[in-house]
Amino acid sequence: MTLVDVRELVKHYPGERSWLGLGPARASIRAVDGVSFTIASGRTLGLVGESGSGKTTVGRTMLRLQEPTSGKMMFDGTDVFALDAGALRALRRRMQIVFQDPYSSLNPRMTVEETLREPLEIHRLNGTVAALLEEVGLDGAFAKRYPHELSGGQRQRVGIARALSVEPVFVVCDEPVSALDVSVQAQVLNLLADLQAKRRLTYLFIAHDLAVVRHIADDVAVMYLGKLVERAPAAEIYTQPRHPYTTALLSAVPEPDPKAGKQRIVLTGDMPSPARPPSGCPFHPRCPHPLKSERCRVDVPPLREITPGHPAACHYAEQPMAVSESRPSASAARD
Amino acid sequence: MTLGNWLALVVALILAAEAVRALRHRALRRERWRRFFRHRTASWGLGILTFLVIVALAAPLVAPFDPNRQLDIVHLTNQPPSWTFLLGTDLLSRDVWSRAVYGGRISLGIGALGALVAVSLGTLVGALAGYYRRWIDAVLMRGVDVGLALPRIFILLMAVALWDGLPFTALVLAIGLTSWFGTSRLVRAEVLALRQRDFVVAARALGVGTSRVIFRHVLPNAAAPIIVSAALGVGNVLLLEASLSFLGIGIAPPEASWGNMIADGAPSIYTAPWSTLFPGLAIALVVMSLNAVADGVRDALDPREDGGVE
Amino acid sequence: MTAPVLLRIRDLRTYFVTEHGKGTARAVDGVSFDLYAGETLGIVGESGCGKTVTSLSILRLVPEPPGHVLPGSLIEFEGRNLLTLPAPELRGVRGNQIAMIFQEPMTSLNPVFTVGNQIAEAAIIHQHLSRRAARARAIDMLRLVGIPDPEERVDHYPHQLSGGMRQRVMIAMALICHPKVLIADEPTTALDVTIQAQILELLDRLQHELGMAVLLITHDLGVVAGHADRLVVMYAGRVVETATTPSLFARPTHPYTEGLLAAVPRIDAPRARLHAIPGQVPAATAWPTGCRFHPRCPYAWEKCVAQEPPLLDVADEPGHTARCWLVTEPERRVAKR
Repeated sequence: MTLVDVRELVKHYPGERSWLGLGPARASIRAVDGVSFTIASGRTLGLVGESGSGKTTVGRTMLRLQEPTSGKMMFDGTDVFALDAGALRALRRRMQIVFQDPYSSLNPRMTVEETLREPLEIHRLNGTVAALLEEVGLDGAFAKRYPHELSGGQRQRVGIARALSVEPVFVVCDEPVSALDVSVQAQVLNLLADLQAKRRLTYLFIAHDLAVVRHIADDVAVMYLGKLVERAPAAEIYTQPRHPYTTALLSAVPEPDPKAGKQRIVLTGDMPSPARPPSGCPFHPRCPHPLKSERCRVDVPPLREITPGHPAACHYAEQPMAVSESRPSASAARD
Repeated sequence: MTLGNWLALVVALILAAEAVRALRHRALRRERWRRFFRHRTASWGLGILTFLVIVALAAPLVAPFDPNRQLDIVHLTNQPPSWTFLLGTDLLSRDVWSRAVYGGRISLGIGALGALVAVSLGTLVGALAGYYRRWIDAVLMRGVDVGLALPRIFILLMAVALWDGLPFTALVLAIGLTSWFGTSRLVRAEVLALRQRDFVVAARALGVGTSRVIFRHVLPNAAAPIIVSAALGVGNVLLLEASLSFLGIGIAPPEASWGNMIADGAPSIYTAPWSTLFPGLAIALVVMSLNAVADGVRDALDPREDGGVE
Repeated sequence: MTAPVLLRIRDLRTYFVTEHGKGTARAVDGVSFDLYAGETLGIVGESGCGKTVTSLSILRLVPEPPGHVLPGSLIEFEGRNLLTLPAPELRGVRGNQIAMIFQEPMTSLNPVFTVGNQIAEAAIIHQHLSRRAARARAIDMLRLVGIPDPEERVDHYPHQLSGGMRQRVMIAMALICHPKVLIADEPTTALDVTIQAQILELLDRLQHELGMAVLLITHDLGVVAGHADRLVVMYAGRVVETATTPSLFARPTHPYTEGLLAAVPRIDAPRARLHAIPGQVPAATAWPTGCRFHPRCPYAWEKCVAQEPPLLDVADEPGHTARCWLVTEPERRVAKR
């Protein structure tokens, strides 16, 4: 059953105004440019992209922590974007967020106990701080501590406990492990997986690390410059990517295996600025696909189903490139 | 000065020292306050301020004479400091020490209350402007710009003229209402930065109401500039009051305030410097102590979270 | 290894005084390794292991209070002890013979100077070039690190460049004097994965062209797998394992290395629970007695609590050492938890 249904989500930031704020606005920054996807109840959708892709904006806008420019966010049948402040407040309990940076996600002036008690009090819930701490694997002694006395992993657990305190059904995990060391990352990922099973949660897992997403996502969606370029069930996207950006992303991930000796696609240039996206396909200036053509420069490829349940936004998605086929100027062999 | 007065003075000194020591002991547990006490000047400043406040509060115990009483207009004007008159007498044969102590009540009182009004108002305006932004911010900040452009002394002069002399409360309000602009700018800047922080966003996501977000999450983390502003503000208000009283438009005689004591003593500054010198020193001492404390507080509240290196 | 030893670190100890009776933080507590000319040595570890302090200690960049390098430590560069070098000579080494790049290019670049200015600075100071000559060199360096339109970019400010570009600028700054050793402290951690691939490829190419040795410090095992010749694994201020890269991955001997490798998420693995090392890194003010890893080790027994193992040679693998009693008693490698 579909819990979350995002339709044509758009978030534009108005560009700077010239003339000390009185002149006409310059080009707006199209952080999210028409993104649609669904998440079924109890499943995890991994949303992958690099900085500038718009993935964090998607997460925050879905919860209306930032106001969207247009689109619909259907949560359990209700359009979150159409609610007034009061109804939104009530719905907030059911959708929560876990942040990336464990150092700024907790109020430095409040103890762990105060941080966790606040949502319980506001919504008049029955839970206890002790129970929450236990659920995320922290000893009760942590309640009296301040954030600066905790390690990154411990703070992240508190952040998770806080999100869970109001008993949500949907949690947006905004790069929850990116700032953690490898071994701590593993602990927190396992915790998130356990909590999902136990509380039957639905996750939107935002990350830039494809390897991490592999371990928690059922489906994966890839974003580039504000648009969704591919989406597929996890197993398929790693073995049969259809969009050249996905292929490049997969090949760029460093494998902890010196014998891998894989051919790597190294993209040239940087991601273009969201204020001035390229014409046609946003990826075309950096695209290493051998079939790249004039059409890519002119026509925006629509997101269309290539195989059932696997849409991609590429004119040549039916003939996805293999790493070895990428154009010579953009590939580098390693041993 | 009677024995009783000396005794009271010594007790005040001991109390102040003990208070600072006790605070220091309590503070050692929290790293933040340890940083404060590491500043020797801050501890001293705190001690001096505490002592002065105790003395001012205990004025009747510490002052041997009525501050407004002219003791002997023929023989005892402008007497130099002695054992009877600790700081000498002024041109109207009033005991300078007693006047200084009671004047301290007035001056410190105006300083503290005026700063309280200014900082509260400044914080409120700054917080609203910084949190809500857009038109509220624009309107409020333009108001602040106007306020900063107004010449304060002239406004106060006008107020005095309109009200035919200012009673204590009116003076406090007048000063307070014209001194909050700088604080509001500082607070606004802090709030603008803080509202983006993840924990504030988290609070909103949890459904925490706006006023609670501002008072529980944002402002406590903006405490540093507010407190520093307050500490320095007391000094500023004190100086302002002294200037006004010196000009004759502040506290009216015969009531003593450090400002009008300086004014009274000015004509005889070469022959009887003590009646100007001591209130002047008192003001300087208070302002310096406040600055030292403000420095210490700023360091203490500095979010140096990451002390460790890896 | 037939190449000469460029950098010899022996028994490096860097301690930090902490406030108020929390004891001394022994961030680096007896670290020894060698860096040979032309190789890339990877130093791997997580936060709290001491790898960054080690790299800062080499160039004596550790803030003197609260940190200090203990006497008895040796950092020898081409025969000279860097720790006892007088200041002017040390400055001649820094940026000139040993250069360093850092993790956060935005905070490592001065926002009020152009990038050209900052790159040229090292050349002006160390090679006494004129402003004009130095600027021309800066443009050459920008080209070398792959920045398009270098004649234009040389006058840009850091905020006008993307993260990847800024990192390239930092690399240009570091390499302008053709140093013999480049210390790269987590150079790609703050970058996106596609940019990371670019920067790593750049470093490989430059190392080849300029023939320098690279000390690559990172927590990312994937990065070292593809770009380091030898590896040093650090934990709790000590070296716990050293090996060539293929050896380390094929035969991780120290349980920490083993745990680390098992905890790394992999693209090719099916969706499964990650193996997590239980517990967490201890505080530098209170390292555990005996083997510092024993509280978290699945194989630990009494000897591990009582006695800290020295670095022992792993049988049949020259150059592979591990600080673990399992090397001498391999039959004990039975998981208890």
